[in-house]
Amino acid sequence: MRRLSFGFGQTAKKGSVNMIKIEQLTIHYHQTCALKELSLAINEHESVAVIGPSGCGKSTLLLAIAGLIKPSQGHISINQAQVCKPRASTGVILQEYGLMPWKTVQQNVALGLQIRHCPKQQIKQQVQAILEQLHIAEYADRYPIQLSGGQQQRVAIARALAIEPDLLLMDEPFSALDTIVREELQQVVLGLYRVRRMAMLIVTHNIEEAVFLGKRIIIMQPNPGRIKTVIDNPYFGSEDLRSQLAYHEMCMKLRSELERVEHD
Amino acid sequence: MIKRLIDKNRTIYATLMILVGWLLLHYSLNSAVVPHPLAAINVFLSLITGSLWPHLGASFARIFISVVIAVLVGTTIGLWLGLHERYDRLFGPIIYLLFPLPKIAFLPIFMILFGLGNRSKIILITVIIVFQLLVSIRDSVKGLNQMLFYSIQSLGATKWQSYRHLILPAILPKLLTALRISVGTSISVLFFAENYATTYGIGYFIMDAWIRIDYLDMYAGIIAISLLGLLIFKGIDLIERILCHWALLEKGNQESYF
Repeated sequence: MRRLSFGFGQTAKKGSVNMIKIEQLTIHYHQTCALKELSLAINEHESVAVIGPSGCGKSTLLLAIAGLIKPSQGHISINQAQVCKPRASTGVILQEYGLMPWKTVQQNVALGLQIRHCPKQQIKQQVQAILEQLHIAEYADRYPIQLSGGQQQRVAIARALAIEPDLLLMDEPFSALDTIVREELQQVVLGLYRVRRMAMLIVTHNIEEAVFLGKRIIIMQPNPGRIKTVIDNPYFGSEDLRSQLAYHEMCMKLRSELERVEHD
Repeated sequence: MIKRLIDKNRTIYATLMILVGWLLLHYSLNSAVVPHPLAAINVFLSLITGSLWPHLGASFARIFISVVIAVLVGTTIGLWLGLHERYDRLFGPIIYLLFPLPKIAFLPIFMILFGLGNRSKIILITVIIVFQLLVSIRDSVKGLNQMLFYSIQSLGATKWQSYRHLILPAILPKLLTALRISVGTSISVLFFAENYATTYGIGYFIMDAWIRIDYLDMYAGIIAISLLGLLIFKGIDLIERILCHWALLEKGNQESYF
């Protein structure tokens, strides 16, 4: 096995294309092999969607990139620094939003900055700006339980963005929402992706979501979790994508690929 | 209209209902064992300005010290076991076995080891309620959603920051609920513990009145200990309202099933 050792805190070389490098990643989880020898590279400011049936290890992959679970074998590096704990500029949005029920919207969004010991005044300004950007400023003093699912997810997005990430990881962020709210938030995320120079990885089981938010779509298969196919999505980010025929053709293509995984 | 009146004055409503029940019992039994409530209240009011105070003070101090020790010990061990599966596997079964054990039966041992005074009384109460607190803290930590831990870790939280922003606020409502049960238990145990080797404490006062067959005094003592319990409950309510506003919102959203 090749051993790569990178210095910590090393800054990215200018012009380096690969931001995330995953090599031969294997993860054992509760006695099962969740991921086996998976290799993948993601560029700066690239948007990748990961899709696959349950048990294919797509959430495990995301948690490993986030530094929340440790690889059994192999390496993950981001900007040449090996990931062994959560990285300061990786934003993470998890299923069921992960908001603290005892904190108001404002306090939830401020949490990342508070943990970083930012000055109070700066936190206040930054939080206010991001709340306004996501149209949730009027709910600043409410608790998560007082909000709808869509509003809660906006708070989760705001919290992840407040730390100004260069990488945003999302694990089935919109799976609990109805179609209209889901598409609205997908649009929000796409808009934020365009404005901010960040890479994005979204794990989903929703075909339309993968096509809408993934410039590259990675299809995974289970037992053990590994990559099946990678599809390039040239239609990513085009205007009015949802009303274009090509979008639906792409969805059909992805659907047939996924069905092949299920039948393997 | 009546419902709203009850909702707004719950304590007054409950007091009135209990007094009515008491009155009915008084007239139906027609015995000195159940005196007229107003007579008992009268005696209570005359005693509260004087001789009841030292007894109440002694009892409150014993409960307070026991509860503080039990909360500190129970929370610490409960958190430790709840957050470390391997230790819980080691100590969990032992706690399971010790929990239902009638610790009050070991009173003679406490008396011999810690003397007849306050120390054995406080230790007895502490040992009994610490298990309730420990078990409910441990289980509430274990029930915490893994996603919350991942969320806060992804924001870069240290262990101490996870305690501050996640673990402690999450267990506080459960701790307060456990505390209510514990305070109820500790008052019953206190009554028992104050029946030996002391001349101060509301338990002693009630027992003494009983032996003197002074039922009015006895009832005055019962009223006093009940008010003490009520006062502590109200204190816990107040803490809950200030610190766990969110949990009350969650409670308020639950409709009754039947």
